Amino acid sequence: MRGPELKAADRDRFFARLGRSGLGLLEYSGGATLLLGQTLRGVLSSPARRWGQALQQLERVGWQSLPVVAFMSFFIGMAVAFQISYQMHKLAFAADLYLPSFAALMILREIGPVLTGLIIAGRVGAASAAELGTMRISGQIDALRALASNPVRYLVVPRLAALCLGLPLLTLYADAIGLAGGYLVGTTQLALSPTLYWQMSARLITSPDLFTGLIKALVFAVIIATISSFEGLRARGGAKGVGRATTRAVVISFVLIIAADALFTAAFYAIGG
Amino acid sequence: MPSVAEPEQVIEVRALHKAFGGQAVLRGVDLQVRPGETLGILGASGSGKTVLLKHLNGLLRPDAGQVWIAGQEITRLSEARLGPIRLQLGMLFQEAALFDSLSVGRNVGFALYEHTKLSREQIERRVRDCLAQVGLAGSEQLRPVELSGGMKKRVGLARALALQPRILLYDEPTSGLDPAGRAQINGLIRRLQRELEVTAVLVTHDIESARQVSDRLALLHRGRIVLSAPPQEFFRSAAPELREFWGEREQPWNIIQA
Repeated sequence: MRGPELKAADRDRFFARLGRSGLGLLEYSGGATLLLGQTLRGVLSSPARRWGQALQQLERVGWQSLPVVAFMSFFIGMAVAFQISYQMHKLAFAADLYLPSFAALMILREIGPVLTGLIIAGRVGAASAAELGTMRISGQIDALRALASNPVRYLVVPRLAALCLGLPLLTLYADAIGLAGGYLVGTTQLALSPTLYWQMSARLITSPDLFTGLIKALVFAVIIATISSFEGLRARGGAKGVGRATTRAVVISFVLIIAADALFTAAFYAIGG
Repeated sequence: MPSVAEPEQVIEVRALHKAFGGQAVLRGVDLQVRPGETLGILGASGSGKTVLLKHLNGLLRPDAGQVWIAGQEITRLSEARLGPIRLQLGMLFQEAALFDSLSVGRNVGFALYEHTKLSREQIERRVRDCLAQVGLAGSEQLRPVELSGGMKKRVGLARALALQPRILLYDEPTSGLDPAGRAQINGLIRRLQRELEVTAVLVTHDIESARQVSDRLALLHRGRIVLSAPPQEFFRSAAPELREFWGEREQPWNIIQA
């Protein structure tokens, strides 16, 4: 049996640990927010030559991600169409008619932006954290500062700009391909007429659903740019430290993207968007 | 040799303290460097030489104490305010710290592209001159990954020279080089002193290199400068800290490095 003193010690240790992780969390979010603030200020005061670097980053974000985004969106679009049709048949009404609009809603509001955000966090966020982390541990960040350049403006601003432009565009692309996946299932497996399918989804494409999804994509872009840069710039401890920073950048971006998605969805429905 | 009549110091460090995670590294460093002088700071590995050097251009902020560069106190300046001062200080990093996403030419011309309104042709000419100065003429198109350790350091030096700084900071300029590479770097440092009349601070544990290029030597020991004198006098000193530092040379690791 444990004495009451031991329990008290346990409790103290528990609270100490809780306090430490609370402080750590505050420190982390404070640091990341500060970096975001500096980056946004940097965006406003960036000289024109930064756009060249942003374009270079955009190529990495956008162009090179097209194939993987296409594959995943297409198959998810098909899976969504099957699921919706199957569930609705269980409810026993002539449900296939509703498939196009339900599938479009799911894809435009949720699957398009979230899936694209996760892919880009894994592809571009990881690469970015690893690159900045390597620069940090090899002294290149110090060298930038010694040459009177601001690492945030030189390295983070172009990344943020590229992601904020590239992720919504990629989301549009993912939306289109996801809808095509649903269309394929709807017209071949469920015998909906192509014209009808197209009419039913086209109505939604002009609705707030599309816009809502793109706003989410923009928020995810800010999350990915901020977290991957923050993790990269504070990497320490050699190659291992770079690996750690990269992993953390991806995991934390994933968690924040999903959390932000839930919050935004709730907020959009609350304000009637 | 600097004129004794002009007492103004280019670099002055007063009572500098710095600790990392409760571990005191600098415990009250005092230091002066006169115009045109080359000061070599010797110290054992891990004695805080690089930490001290990084305070001279504001890469690190002290816990206490002051750093004066050309009559201006820099420890409380913002990063933006430090910019113009950093442009007067060229720094050669220990591992050269070249930007590996940029070509050699872009590395050397980096500060010129970023901070001057010079035309592309003017910058390219300046880059060519700087690379020629370090014996790497025509290497503009190479990538840093294609270079040997000694070449990287020379490109790093060319990058530091591009803006014609008044002060040069060398962090272990000869570490990791073979004897030929070391001789080459030492020769370069000496030539730059003669031709450009820059003020320089060099931190190293390479005693021979420090002796060859310095006007004055200082010993950093347990976070303080414990000895500072012209080379001849420095090596005749009977200070126990110096003997301890010499003793460190007998360690196998240092013999391998030497």
